[in-house]
Amino acid sequence: MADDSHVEIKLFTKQLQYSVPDSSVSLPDKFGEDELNELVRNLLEAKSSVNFDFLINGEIFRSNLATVIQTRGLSREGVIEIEYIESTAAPSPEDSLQHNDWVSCINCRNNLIVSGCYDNSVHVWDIDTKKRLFSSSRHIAPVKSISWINDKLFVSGSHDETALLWRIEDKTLACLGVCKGHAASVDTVDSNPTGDKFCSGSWDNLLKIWSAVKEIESTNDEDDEPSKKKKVENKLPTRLPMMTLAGHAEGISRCTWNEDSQIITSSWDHMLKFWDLEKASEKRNLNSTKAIFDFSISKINQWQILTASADRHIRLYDIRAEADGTKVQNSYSSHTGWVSSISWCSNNEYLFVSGSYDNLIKMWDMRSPKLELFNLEGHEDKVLCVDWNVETTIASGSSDNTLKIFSYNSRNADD
Amino acid sequence: MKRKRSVGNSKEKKEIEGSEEETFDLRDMQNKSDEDSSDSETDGQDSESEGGDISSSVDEEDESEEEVENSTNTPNEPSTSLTQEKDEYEFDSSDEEDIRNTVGNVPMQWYRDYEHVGYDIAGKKIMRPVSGNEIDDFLAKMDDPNYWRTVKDKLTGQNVVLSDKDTELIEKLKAGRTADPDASNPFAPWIDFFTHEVMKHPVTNQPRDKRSFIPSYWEKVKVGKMVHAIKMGWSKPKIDKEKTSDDEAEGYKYYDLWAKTEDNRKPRFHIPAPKLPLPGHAESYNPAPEYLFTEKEKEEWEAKESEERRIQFEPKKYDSLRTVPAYVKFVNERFQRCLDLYLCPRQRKMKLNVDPNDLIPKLPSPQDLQPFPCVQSLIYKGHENLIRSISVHPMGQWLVSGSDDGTVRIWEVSTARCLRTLTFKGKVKRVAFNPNSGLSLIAVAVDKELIILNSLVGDKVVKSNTDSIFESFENGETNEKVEWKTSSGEDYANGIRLRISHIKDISDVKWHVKGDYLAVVIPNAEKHSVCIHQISKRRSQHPFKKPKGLVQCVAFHPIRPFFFVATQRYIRVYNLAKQELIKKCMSNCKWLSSLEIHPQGDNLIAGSYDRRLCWFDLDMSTKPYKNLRHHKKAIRSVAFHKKYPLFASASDDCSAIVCHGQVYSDLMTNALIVPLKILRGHASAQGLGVLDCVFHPFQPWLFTSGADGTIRLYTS
Repeated sequence: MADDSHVEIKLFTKQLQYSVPDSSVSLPDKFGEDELNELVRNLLEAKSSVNFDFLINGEIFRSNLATVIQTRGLSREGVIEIEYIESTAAPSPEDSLQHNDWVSCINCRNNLIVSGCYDNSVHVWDIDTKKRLFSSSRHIAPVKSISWINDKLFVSGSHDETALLWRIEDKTLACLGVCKGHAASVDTVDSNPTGDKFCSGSWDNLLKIWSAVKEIESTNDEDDEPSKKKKVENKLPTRLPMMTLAGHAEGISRCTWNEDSQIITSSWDHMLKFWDLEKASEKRNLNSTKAIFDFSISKINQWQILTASADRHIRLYDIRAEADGTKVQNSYSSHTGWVSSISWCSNNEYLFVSGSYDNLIKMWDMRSPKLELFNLEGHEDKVLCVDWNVETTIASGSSDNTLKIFSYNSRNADD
Repeated sequence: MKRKRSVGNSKEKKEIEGSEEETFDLRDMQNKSDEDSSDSETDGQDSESEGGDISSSVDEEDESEEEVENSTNTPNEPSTSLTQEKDEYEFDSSDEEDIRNTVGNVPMQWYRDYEHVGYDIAGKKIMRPVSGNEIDDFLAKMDDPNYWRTVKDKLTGQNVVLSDKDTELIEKLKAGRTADPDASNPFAPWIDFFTHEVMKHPVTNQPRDKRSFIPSYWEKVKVGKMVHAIKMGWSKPKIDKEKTSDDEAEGYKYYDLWAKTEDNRKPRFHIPAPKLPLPGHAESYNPAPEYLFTEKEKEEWEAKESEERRIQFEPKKYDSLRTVPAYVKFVNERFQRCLDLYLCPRQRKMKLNVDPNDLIPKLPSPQDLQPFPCVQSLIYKGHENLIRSISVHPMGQWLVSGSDDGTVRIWEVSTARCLRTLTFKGKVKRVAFNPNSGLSLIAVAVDKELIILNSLVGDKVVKSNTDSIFESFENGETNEKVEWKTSSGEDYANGIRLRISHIKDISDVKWHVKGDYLAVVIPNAEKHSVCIHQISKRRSQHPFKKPKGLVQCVAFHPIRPFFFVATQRYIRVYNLAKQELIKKCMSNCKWLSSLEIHPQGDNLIAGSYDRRLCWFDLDMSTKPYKNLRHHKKAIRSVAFHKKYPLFASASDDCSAIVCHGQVYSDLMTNALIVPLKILRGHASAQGLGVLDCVFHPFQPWLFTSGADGTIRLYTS
């Protein structure tokens, strides 16, 4: 009976260029993705090269219809509505940029990538030419965090408890100032949307906010080793924090300045905190059960936060949820090691990438929690950071001393 | 009664009036002897009245009749009445024939003044015989051999010589024996002529006379007198006398064993005989055909010994019960059954109806006790030999490890990145981060040297503060056992600040919570086997004057000034402030390997090389509160988590076991210990497995270091 049982389905799409007649068809339930693809292509006739993904109730399925009906407890009696979307194109490995040591952090903006390395250096790369534009080793300990502030300005945080502010000048990389104040490694930095301030989170549990533009008069209280002074041709102006926010019980692993007056921080104390900068206090907490290593807030749907914590699962939170906001909407688990970093796609509301200690980068569709879309292989050791801030470029840093670039071209962009 | 008495008294009187009457009287007396004896010294009135009673024969007869009637009432009487009746007939006949004096029963003194003493049947006078004088009497006494048994018949005045039979009778009476001369057997069985039971029909139909309805006046008088006598104290109740005399004379003190016991003996358990198996279809006289033997089956059945046979009989089919023959084996089977019963055990088996699940203590499910480390998340690779010891920075960002390859490595916990490597000349036995987060010191034990390192990771201020401790102090104290040396040059650049040399190899190093003192174990140094160093003042002291055994490990109490010293079998607790022994815990293990104090300080766990983990409650006894024996090989290290109720043990069987160990502040509640997870992953090398385990200070994570040269991080 299972062999020749049929189900009534109806196909529809929101992508108008692929729409098919609105009528239900009866299909054998052993039909899977490939057969449905064939069917849709036949219906469309023209564009035969396009691949589609199929969704039932907003969730992509990869198995045949019978299994889906069984696992999701659907009724065979009614008409099953199947949405189809053009499937995401596979990102292609572009290049591998060799570093001297582990690549701990990266950030992309426009056509530039900055990366921090465990050999105390920061590097600026050109995405298009894959060339190193600048590099500098001003830090005296491994660089742990790096972030663009605006097109010319970026900041890096390090184990040496300082953050350095850099500016790309015509032919040189200038260090504008050293931000002193943290008592432990600066594990995360981020700039505000307007690009005139940045915040830093550290293992000393503090979140500090710094000015990025205003040149605070240097107090010249540099008590660093004289050896370092010699290296620096001109004295580095020391910057002091504008504001210090305390509240976390353990080290801050990631901070994101997503609105003008809101910073979100994640910490090893299992919490996500939302800070109100106008009141200089925390707005709300979001409790988790594990130490959070990284999180990413969707740029399109500002309420969706993905977290990577000390286990192999990626969790999707909806911060609009009331009741102390611990609602886990979905969890994505196919990694086999700790998920170290995560990043939403900058202009697709469904896609994100995650990097894990199992050497893999995975590209996910939010609608497919069981199975990732693609595995981006290539790294030979733990992936420490991923970045998808530029839509066409997925960059990742790993402890195999490489920075890998994958290019992603959505078809929509082509059209 | 006078007569009787005279006869009874002696033969000397010889004033018995007639032999016949004498015999009668004798009989009478014999019959009444019971009454007489019971009367005991009857008064004269009584005897007189009796004499009066028996005045006429008619009366006598009446009386006898009455007595017979009475006999139906009282069982004592009939003997007298019966014999009397018998006698009566005898005398009737003999009286009438033998009587020679017809005067009857009159007093003979009436004839005293006459020549005759009465009249014979013919009416002739019976002349008084000539009675001799006293001389004749004396002569007769002298001459006549029968004189002693010669009596005078008062009725006839004749002398009568008593026969032998008569004398025998008299002798018997005197001796109080049975008077009947004919009785050859005095104990002849009693012939009950009249039943003692009250019959439906009375023996006589005579209506009862009035007397029998009236209470006896004489009895009343007699009883009255007896009562009076008792009242006046003249006589005492006989029975009481006897009773008291019995008890007292014997001197026994009885107590009635059963007087107070109720019948509370347990009823004997009835053990029913084992049941015979019920007959089945095969036993039927008309079984279904499938029960009947086929030929092949029958052959098989016959070929087998009777013990081997499945059934002991051959099923057979009969048309009707009528045709069923007698069962041949009946007696045999009954006999077998009897043997079975004889041999069957007479013991009541007490069945224990216990659900085995109830015997398992109720422990919460490990799922409810999360978080605890269960998944291996990171491997810290880099060491080339077995890693003896690891330690986590109090802030949880750094991990230090010491290995047999002579290196100490400092790792970043979150990325498994080795940030620093320090090489030493010998094997690194023990590393320990200073628990004070304001000092970034690591104590490293390499052979005989204890090296104090500045970790050179973490807060700049802390690092410089740490260095200032060493800079401010110049000359180190040296004694013969311990030598302090400051370092310089390359050593200093590597972070080595102090080298403290000892006389023998160091096996264990433990910091005090405040971070200024550290205790070192030098197991082979005998009385110097425990040494406490003070970093700030560069002082060393040996707290024990005598060796207490081979010291295995030591520990400082996290709160109080207590110091724990574990030797091979015992854990001694010293109060450092008072300098005295507080407690000595007996581990019941053969060789302790490690020791860890609960962060709250009231409990400790100790691992031993004989696979045991002992949990001691220091407020309770000196014996372990719990012994856990989950490991298959020697336990190398134990650890408590500082925040979560967790503890772990690392063993040579390449596993670490994480247990839940909740300690309650309520003193009445014992600690709850639940084994949670066996963590595997390490490979065995050189016969060793996991050598050390340490918990992360904040996260529910466990670090283990193994003989395979890796450190593994297990997370929840």
